[in-house]
Amino acid sequence: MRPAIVLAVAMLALAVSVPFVSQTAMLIALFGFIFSITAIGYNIAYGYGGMISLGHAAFFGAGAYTVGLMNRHLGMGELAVLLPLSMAAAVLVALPIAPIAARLSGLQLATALLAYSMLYYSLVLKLGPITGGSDGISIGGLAVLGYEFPDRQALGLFIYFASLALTVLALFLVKRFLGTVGGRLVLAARDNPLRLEFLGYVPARAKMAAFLISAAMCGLSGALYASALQFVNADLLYWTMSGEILFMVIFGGVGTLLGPILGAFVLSGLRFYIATTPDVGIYWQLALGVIIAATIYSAPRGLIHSIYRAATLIRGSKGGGHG
Amino acid sequence: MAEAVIRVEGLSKRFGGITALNNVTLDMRRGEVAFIVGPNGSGKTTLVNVISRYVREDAGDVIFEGRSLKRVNHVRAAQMGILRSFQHPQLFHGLTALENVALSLALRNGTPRAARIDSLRDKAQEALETFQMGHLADKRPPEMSHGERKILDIVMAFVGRPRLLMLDEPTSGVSTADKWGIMDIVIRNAKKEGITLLVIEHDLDLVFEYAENVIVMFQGSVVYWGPPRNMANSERVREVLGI
Amino acid sequence: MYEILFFSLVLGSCYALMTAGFNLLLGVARIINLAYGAYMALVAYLYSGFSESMPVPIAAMLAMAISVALGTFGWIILRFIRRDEVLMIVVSLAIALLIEGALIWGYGPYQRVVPALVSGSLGWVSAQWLLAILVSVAVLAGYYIIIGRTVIGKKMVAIAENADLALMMGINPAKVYLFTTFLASLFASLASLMISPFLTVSPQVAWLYLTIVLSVSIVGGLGSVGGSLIAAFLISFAERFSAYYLDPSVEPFVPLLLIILVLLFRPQGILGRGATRWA
Ligand SMILES: Nc1ncnc2c1ncn2[C@@H]1O[C@H](COP(=O)(O)OP(=O)(O)OP(=O)(O)O)[C@@H](O)[C@H]1O
Ligand SMILES: [Mg+2]
Repeated sequence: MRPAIVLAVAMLALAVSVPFVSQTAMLIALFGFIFSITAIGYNIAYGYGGMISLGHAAFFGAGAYTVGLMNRHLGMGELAVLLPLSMAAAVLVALPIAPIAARLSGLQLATALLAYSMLYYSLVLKLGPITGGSDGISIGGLAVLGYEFPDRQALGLFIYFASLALTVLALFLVKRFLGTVGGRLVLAARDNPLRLEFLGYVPARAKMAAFLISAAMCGLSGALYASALQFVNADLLYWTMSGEILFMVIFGGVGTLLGPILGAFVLSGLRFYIATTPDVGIYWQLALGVIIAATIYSAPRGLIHSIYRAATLIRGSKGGGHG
Repeated sequence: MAEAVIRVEGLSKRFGGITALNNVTLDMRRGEVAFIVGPNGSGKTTLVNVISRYVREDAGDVIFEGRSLKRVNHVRAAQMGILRSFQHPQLFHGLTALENVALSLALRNGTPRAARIDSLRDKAQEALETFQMGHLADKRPPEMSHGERKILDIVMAFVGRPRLLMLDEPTSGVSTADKWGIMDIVIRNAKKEGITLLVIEHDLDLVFEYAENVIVMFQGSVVYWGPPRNMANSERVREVLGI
Repeated sequence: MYEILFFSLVLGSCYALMTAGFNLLLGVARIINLAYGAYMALVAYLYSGFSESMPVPIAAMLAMAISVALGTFGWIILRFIRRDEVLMIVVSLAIALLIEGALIWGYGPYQRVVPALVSGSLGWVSAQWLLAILVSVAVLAGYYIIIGRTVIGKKMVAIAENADLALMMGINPAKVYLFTTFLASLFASLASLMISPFLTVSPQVAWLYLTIVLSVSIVGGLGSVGGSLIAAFLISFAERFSAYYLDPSVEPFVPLLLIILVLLFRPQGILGRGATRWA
């Protein structure tokens, strides 16, 4: 365990110093941490709860639009209110579909959630006067505990550290949760729901809880994303967003603690490259498709497993791979 | 006669053209150890499925501790204390043996969901030791042998303080040498805790040794129900079981 | 009123045709193909691209030939990972992204007009409408004849019903699977040629097609071609009539509402098979 602690402290020190080293590195890491929260959340539903979702964009978008709509219509910019509110909003959006998600599996589940999230996509486009339609909403006047950010720089710095702290917190909480009876129930519901029923427990309950927790985390990260960009639009609700979230988790390692973070960083690095390099934006999907296919082919259990394997080989002894 | 823990009356069940249960009537008193025997496809598992409420009867009734289970589903039945194991072991393959058992303990003891699973470690370990599985505590089901998985499945049902415990072929796929050991542990502990036990078993030697009552099934019907010593007197039973 | 009724029929038959292909893959070959919509978009683009430099019928045939060949041999890839449902979902999604990306690369991210295969009209009934109905009905009728009368069709049914048993009976699955992917590609391509002229097509039309296919097959029962026939008309009528009598903006929510109702009250779909046995 000691090398792991040393490594963790080193990573943390690196993360804290990034903003003071390079602006570019900070931007990549900023979205890396925001999406880490998304991916950790998604992993709870998919990796631990066994619910493959193609609809988590709806929860991410719910968080983002909470910030956008409150800002646009009520002039609300207080993040200390907006961030918790966005989690509540995501849970609210997830609530009607959660009982269904908890009972389906495979293609039916993926499809139901895909359709459900596209509902919100269409809704946002249809309700243009309220939601800004396809133009989206610009966000201004963000503040935290009454302190209004003087410029983008300050805001970015705050969101960066907030996301870093929340990622660490999320990791810690997920690890704790997995150690509880409730956490083990989620894993058990994934592995063998019928057996749980024969022990007198309704597995859909654990799955629903996992699903709602997962939605809340996606909502939170959506709000952070909107705040960092000071902008939201309907693309956040499109199914490709759900696809990207799924890919982050698969790329990093499904059902592992650190895999989602790894996947989130790789994907946000790619996104940054695409966004800042002229004329490549339209190839994003092509690139994404190739990357996914290559990952599944070469590292079907995710990058984190390959890293663990390599570490194990180097140390020549045991190395953990289970979350 | 003391009140029956479980009584089934005129149970019938058909699957398409197959009669899986045909007018089955039985009962068991508290603490009784009964065995079901019969050739493949004679309806043994179906009977257990109906009692555990996983399969709905076409006709008849199941009465558990004086209550009809007509409107009870398998989840509720488990909550009432009807627990079972499975012909093919049903386990949580992502959890260790210890955690499999601990989860069963937690569910049946009403442990708070926020409690750490480790808080049940000692009790789960103790249960595993009882079944001589202590050394497998940290193994996951995919790393265990078929026989070990079967025992783990039984332990999970056992620790749930069953008021009626049904084991579906607990010794199938286990070596002849180990069979006796397992059955001995099961019966001893059931007796110690006064558990009413219904076991499906193919090995007649085990049945003759441990059964207080035997239910012989053939094509969905009960052809014999009574103490093992009178069993071999019946021509029908000898014919069905080939003895 | 009659116009709506008729157009619902037209759309319904297109929905039925496209979903039939998807369900064939699912029911017979156990292939989950979320790239199905992207594939249909590809067909529309090929056709619309060719039609700029050659007569419409030739463009249509060329597009069909290319796409059916691609599909027949392409979807077999997904068979190799069929043991894992989730992996199939992910891989086919990646293929969808690849196709969508390739379309943007080749044709640009713009909207395109897809020319009608036939022009002219009979009163308020346009010739493309009639063609769409005729083709869909003819193809689906042909499908049922194949299933009922031909050896390969009977093998398909046998495999769909119980693959293990079919293998034991000595059916060579490879040929059947290839024939299945061929039929599915044919259905998808034809459906795309029929329905795309009614829409403005952009690379994103892929998700529209996919949503339709998924809604219809969930409502009808995953893997059930018969169920998808019923569901296709149910959805197209519900869509058109709610758009007309309530508000056009409710249209996209109709399939969703149906999906949720079905999942709540009959999760296996109208004609889907029930749960498998256990314990
Ligand atoms: N869910 C089901 N659907 C259809 N048929 C079933 C179902 N369950 C059992 N059957 C049939 O009912 C009959 C009795 O089956 P059951 O499993 O109860 O037999 P069994 O006595 O447990 O046999 P074995 O010794 O092989 O376990 C068999 O013919 C079986 O095929
Ligand atoms: Mg049996």
